[in-house]
Amino acid sequence: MDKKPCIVGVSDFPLSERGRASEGNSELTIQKYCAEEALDQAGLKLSDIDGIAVAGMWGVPGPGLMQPNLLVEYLGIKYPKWIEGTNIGGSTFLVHVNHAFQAINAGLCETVLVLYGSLQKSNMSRVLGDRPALYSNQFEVVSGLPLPVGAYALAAQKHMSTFGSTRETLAEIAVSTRSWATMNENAAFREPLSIEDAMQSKPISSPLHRSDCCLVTDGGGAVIITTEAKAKNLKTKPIYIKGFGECNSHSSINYMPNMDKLEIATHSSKIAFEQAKLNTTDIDITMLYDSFTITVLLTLEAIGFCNFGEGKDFVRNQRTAPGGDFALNTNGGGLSYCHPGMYGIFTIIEAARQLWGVCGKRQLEKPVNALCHGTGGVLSSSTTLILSNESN
Amino acid sequence: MEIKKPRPTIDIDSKTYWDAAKNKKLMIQYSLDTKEYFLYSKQLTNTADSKNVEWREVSGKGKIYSYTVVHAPAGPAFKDDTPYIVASIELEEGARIISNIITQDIENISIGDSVKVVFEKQDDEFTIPKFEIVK
Repeated sequence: MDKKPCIVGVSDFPLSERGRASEGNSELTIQKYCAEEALDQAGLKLSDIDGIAVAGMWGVPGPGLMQPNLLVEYLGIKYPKWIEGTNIGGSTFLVHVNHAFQAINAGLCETVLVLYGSLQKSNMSRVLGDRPALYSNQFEVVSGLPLPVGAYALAAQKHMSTFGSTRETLAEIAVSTRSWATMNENAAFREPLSIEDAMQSKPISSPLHRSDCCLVTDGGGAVIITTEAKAKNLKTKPIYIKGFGECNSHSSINYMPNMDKLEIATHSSKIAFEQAKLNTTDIDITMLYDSFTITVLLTLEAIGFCNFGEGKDFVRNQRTAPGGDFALNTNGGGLSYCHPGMYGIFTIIEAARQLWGVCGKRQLEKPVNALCHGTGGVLSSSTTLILSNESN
Repeated sequence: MEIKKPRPTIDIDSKTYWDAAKNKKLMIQYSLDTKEYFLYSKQLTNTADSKNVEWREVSGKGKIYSYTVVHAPAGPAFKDDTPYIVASIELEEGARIISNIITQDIENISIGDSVKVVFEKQDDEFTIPKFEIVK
């Protein structure tokens, strides 16, 4: 099993005030910085990389974004044997790690660099109404559904109607996530938030208010995966990839099978848990993509940390905040740390750091197993990744 | 300068829907194999393997499956409409459609409310099927 793939380096891009990259950066410089940091951490060089995975919302418009071509050229990576450019929204980077695992395990390549970079805040490229009325979303765009928030709002309203969750339920998640962010120096929003603040924040698309929505920031990250054999000679302790799963169901929210149940997360996590031979009670840290507070509530239930409809009780009384008994989104999440558009890679970066024990003030006590879960599009795609600092 | 609202990029899977709306008819697709209705995408049905599909006129009656009251509009073209309702409507025939609910009483709306289609003409070229609450 010396080919066993593991994570050996991660990095995230340092952001200045309110989540901006310093002036003059491009998406490429952000990713170069992250690649070099993660490689340095592991004790690797760019010339060790023979597989590359990248996705983002940047690139040359027109014939297609072709991000892997531009990055390989820009970084000077010579003749990768394995290239991955899948993009299924913010859940993408977990899929990249899943697929890198399969490629390394099959001997197709040895060391994979997963990269992400975004300047969406500096470029002011994120607005609620820029999507064309095309394909299956033509009906909602013509109706003025703000995207993506309006889609998540429809799911939140349905969940509240079916299960009796409330705006206070969602506020619990916003507040606990902010509490974690106060301990992350790279978080964009570090001022404490109260339940009352969250309840009184501005309505966006009912029942979601401002405090239920992720940030709009710049940012970037890198993850390096290699074989256990190679990892033995590196500076970091290997983080093992114990299980993974992926699933998707729709592009327009109207075609989500049941808007009150994130069934694709049930599918992807079930596959991951079976492969890892673990269950929910074995998980010490949970990193769930929090595009919106409702995403977290739906994901907790769908993965099985509680039953469907019990999420409102699960998150009550700041249970997921620092000092609570369920460690959730310890970096401050997309809600308070950063959200450059496709946040999924940061779930992996934080999980690895927690498993290495390098998280400073917010470090958990000796976590062993981490669950990362990505949600892409408008609750469209689900990716689960189970990591561990123990090999068996 | 007036900012225009988005128009759909009409294709073979939506043309009949939009054309019928101009004649105040609601038409969606129907599978003769599974006897299920749908509009555009097949995900909410078991019609993946069905090739016998035709367009049929439907009642225009249904219930609110979910909805949102929009305060932050989908771009400047919708700013003057706020707050407005976008809903997913489950038709009597089973299919779901996203559109607006037209009501003067925006606070008094619930999932499960009965609705019926109304046709809102934008101009000679374009009519949108919308819904109003049935008391």
